[in-house]
Amino acid sequence: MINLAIKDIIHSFGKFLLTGVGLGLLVGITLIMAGVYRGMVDDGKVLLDNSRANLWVVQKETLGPYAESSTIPDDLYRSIGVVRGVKDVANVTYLTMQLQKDGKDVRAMVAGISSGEITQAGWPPYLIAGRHVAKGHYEAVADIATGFKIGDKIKIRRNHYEVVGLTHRHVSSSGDPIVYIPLKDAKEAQFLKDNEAILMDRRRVEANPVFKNSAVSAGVSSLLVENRAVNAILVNVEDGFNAQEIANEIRKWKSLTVYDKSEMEEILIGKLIATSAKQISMFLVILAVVSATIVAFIIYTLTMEKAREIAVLKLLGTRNRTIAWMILQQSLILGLIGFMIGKISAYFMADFFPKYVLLTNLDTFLLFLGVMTISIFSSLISINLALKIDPAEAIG
Amino acid sequence: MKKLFLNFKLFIAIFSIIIIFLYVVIKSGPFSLSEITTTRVELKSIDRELFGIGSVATKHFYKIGPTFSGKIMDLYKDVGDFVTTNESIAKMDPIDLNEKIIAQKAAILEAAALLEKAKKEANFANEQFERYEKLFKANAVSDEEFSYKKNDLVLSLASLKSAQEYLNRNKSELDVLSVQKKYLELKAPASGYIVSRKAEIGENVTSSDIIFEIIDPNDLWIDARFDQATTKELVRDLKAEVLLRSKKNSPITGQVYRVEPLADLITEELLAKITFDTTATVPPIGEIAEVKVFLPKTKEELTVPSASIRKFNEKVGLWRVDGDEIEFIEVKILDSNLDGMVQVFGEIKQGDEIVVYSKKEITPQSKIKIVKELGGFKK
Repeated sequence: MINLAIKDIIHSFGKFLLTGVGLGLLVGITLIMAGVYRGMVDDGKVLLDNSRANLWVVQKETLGPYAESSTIPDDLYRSIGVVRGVKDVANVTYLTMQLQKDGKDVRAMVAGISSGEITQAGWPPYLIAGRHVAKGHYEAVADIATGFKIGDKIKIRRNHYEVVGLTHRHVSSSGDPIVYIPLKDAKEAQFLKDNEAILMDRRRVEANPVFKNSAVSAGVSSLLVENRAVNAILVNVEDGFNAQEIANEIRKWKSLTVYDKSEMEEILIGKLIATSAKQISMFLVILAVVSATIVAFIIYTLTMEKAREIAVLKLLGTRNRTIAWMILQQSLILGLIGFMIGKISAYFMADFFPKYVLLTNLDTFLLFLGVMTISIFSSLISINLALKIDPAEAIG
Repeated sequence: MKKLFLNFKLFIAIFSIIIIFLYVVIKSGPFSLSEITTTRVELKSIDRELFGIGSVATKHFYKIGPTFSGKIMDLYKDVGDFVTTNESIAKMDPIDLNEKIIAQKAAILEAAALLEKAKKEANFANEQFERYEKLFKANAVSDEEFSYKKNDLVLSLASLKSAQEYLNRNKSELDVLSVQKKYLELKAPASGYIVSRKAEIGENVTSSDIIFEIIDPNDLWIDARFDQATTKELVRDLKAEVLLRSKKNSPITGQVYRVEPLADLITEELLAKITFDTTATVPPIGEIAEVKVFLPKTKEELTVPSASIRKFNEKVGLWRVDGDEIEFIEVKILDSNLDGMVQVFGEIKQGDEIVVYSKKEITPQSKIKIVKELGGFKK
């Protein structure tokens, strides 16, 4: 009986294919929407993975350093480093800013990495070109999404940084590409004011009658431009030690807040993108309803068009089951074409989105099930209609 | 059925959709490959450098001010002028110093006259004593009279001594005033440039105030700072290269003059002084400079690019490629340089193929595809 459905499809092939393409684009957008959400989750995850830390030590009672600002003294790492079970500690700073690239703005997150071993927490775990930062100053490793190339100069505040290495998919939780620079420079960049502001501060201090001694006022002026703070301390735990126990130790004795990786994921995914996730799921629901309506509508039209033929079939004594199966088959084929075109269009469209779109196999499979379910339910109206057709219509 | 195969249009459309669909599934599904680039492990020595930043400073900062409080009468030089050793650069107002000298000279004459008088009196007392001594021996005068004359002699000799010292004191006081007059002229203690002028003509200054600051251009050095974490083997006499912030493309050669015994605890840096081989031009004091210190070459060791050093299961190492298979080899980092080369020690040998770049973290399960270079996709 399969040829009944296929024959009908061949009969109105152009229309059927166009509807399939239309439905496919809709399915593609649904897949992209899911991909956008997965991309946002992945942005958060790669940020945590790339920092290669087991624990994040931040300012007390803040959700820092990614979801909230956190400031801690830069020499605190020494006392964290001596906690039993702590393998490595590294200071880190994060600063989101606009960088200039050929006269255009590039939004990027500037990460300050502490000097030392290449494999230290905070350093980019892999590169796609160039080398790691080797000098303690004025060198940068940039993500390729910034558009910078090896040898380019990036101006951050008043200093120029030479791009010596490139990374791929090193982004902040909001998807901004990361530029790694040495920590000492990053600390300076974070609080460095423009020269006019520095001069004005100096004059204010000099004019302050409290500082009669010029040596004292010079000292106070230099303190004003000095930054001795970082945003977080990344901690690696020794093998065989429980990260939570070490975290408790630090919380208890150092008056700091500590997060492990799962808590950090909860902050980045559960809190930061919670609203965006709801927004996207609303879109997904609307898209599902629209897709279902379109499939139902087209199958309904196709069925209506061949009401007379169905009546003839009935007159010839064809069983209801056969007719229902034919309509269901058509609906499923339409769904299948829609799914395939959807998958293809999503794959090629994803590259054009400014932010990361992650198309997962799980989503594709779920969508396949979804499309098929929608196709089955959408065909029910038409099946109902077909079964009600009076065989007498064939003659009348 | 025959009609179905005859429907060429349908067949092409469905077939192409299926082909593209399969392509997409293979590219994006679990069959996708990790693109990597590779290189060979080399056995060689590497050039090593230390990198630091610092600012232009000077060994000696000559600060010139008056030796006593007074008013500035004249300033002969200004900022930027070159002065030679012992050249006059300023003059203090003598006020009443010349008059004091005239008075002092008169006081010396007075003291000389008093000395003359005392000498005469002493001579007379001596003659009287000798005469009475003879008379006393001849029992012509009493013992009492002889004692008086003896006492007169002692007193007149004391007066003579006093007058002599009075004259000396007045002469010395004249010397003091002359020295003070000499120091009215402020002279350059060394050849060099005047870098600041802190007082003006007519201004009253005290003996602790500074009027001019002079630096010797041959005395310039870089007050350099090196990160403690990356600084090793920093010793004196190593060759160095200085890049001034204003002249980024013209490095100046120099050497490590001194490594400071006191390091900076707060900034976690080592401090060192770098001197220039030549000082043809004088950079402004305080200008920021980048310093590169050249360390001796390392021994020949297995050398790999820094990008190939990875972390896997909390271990440091690199990925060795063997056909389609990859294997993580734990290594110890021995040394590294500013060009991004790293010397390592581990279970690898010269000529081994290792992973350098990849677009994601590699695991032993990664299916690899070796490419020449990784493309710049946006994602």
